[in-house]
This record gives sequence, structure tokens and C-alpha cells, in this order.
Amino acid sequence: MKTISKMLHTPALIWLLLMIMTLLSFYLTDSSTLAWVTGVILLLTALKGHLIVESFMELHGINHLIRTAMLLYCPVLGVIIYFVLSH
Amino acid sequence: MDMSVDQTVESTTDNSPLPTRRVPGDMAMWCFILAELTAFALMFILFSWLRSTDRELFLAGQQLLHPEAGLINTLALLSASGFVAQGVIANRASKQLQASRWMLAGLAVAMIYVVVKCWEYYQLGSAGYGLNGNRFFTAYFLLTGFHFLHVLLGMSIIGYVTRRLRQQVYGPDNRVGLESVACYWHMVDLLWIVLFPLVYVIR
Repeated sequence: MKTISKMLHTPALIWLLLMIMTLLSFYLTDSSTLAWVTGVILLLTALKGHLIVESFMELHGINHLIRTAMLLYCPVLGVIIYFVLSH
Repeated sequence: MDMSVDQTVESTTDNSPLPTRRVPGDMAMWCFILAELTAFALMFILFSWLRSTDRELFLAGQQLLHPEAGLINTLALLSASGFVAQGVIANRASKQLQASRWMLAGLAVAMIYVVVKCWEYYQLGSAGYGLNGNRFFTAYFLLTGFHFLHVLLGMSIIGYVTRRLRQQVYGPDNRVGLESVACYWHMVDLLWIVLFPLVYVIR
């Protein structure tokens, strides 16, 4: 289990996941103005932020306020942006 | 003075302590990162609000941007972040030369962002769109320009730590400076992954 967890946090794998999610969100939108598409794009952005904070910044498994703040950044901002854009 | 943040030592069931883990980098850098993230968050919210007040103008402005250029920049920054992360790992494994090569690779890929961004600014400028064009372009240039300055600062300090890595200044026991720079760079990346969909993708 520890080996799998370690493997999941290798920069190369995280980089690949980030690339796939970026391309997915880019081609998903493709001139669509639907609200759910915006929601999915913001969700993917939150996931990408999570990967960057946990793996690239190496905050995974650290119990500290900084990690909490960093992990909350993209999801909270995503929700606020979604709310502002849809009103 | 080492201002790195020690994390509370966790215990296993037999009460033997696990190796101490700490927040990577310097506490001062984390304060700076959190302040920068807050400033950008306010700018993102302001951009969203401006967009919601004049949706047609922002959609028309967005049509004049080059989303493919934004995509290339996203891929370049993510790749640069991956290289920098590899550099930090190599340094921890006492492979300073290899670490400096990872950092150089990161710099080279980040350079793609600089070239593409300058090209974008040139294209828009040539077409007559500038900071004073309309509300969309004012917001666009201020937001992306501010981020661009952060990229340039990040590249400068990555260049500096790369030189220090070649001088064998950093190592497994002296890595706080390098980790701080890496975390700053990842923050720049984090900001772009919010900026990119907000400005280029969401319609």
C-alpha cells in the first residue's frame, strides 16, 4: 500500500495526470457555454490544484495549517468563481 | 537561521516515533506564497465579477485571444514544475549535478511560456488592443501581466539556485532554500491553472 502511495506521488505520473486533465478541460469546453461544462472545468482545476499541492509541493501526509490552506485554495476559489459567473 | 516548520512527530501503535516530516521550504516563503495567493484570488474574483456584469464584452474579448497559446503555456508551466520537483528529489538523493540539470530543463521549458506570452502580447498590441482598450483587455493585461512578472521572478531564482547547485551549495542537509524556490515555482503554476480556464477556456 505504501509502495502504491509512493508511486502515485512520483512527479512523472503526476505530470502525466496534469497533462491529461489540462487537455481534457481544454477540449471539453470547445465553445460550449453550458453551466455544467464550467462546473466540470472548475472541478478539474480543483483536482489539478490538489495534485500540485500534494505531490509537487510535497505537502502530502503533513499535518499542518499551510497544507490545509493550500488544499482549500483551488476548490474554494472554484466555488466562488462558479457562483459569481452564474449570477 | 533555519525557519523551516517542524511537524509534530506522529506515533505508531508501539509508540515508536516515525521519522519527523516537515513542511518543505522556509516559513517566510510560505507567508509570501499565501499572501500572493490571496492577492491573486481577489483578482480572479474581480475578473469573474466584471465578466458577469458585461458577459458579451468579455466573450467578444475572449474570441480575440489565442486559446492554443494558453494551452501551450499551461503544458509548459506544468512540465517546468515537474522538472523542478524532480530536481528537488535529486538534490535530496545527493545528486546535485543531476538536480541542476532538472532545474535547467525546467528553465528551458519555462522559456517557452515567456516566448508564447510575448508573442500573444505582440499580436494583441499589433491589432490595437492594449491596457486601455476596454474593460476586458484592462483585466486581461493586468491579470496575465502580473502573473508574467511572477514567472520572470521564478525563472530568475531558479537560475540562481541552479548555479548554487552546481557549486554544491545545496544537499540533503541543506535544502531549505531550494525547496522554498521550488514551492514558489509551484505556486506560479497553481495560479496559472486557475487563470487559464478563467481567461481562455470558460465561455
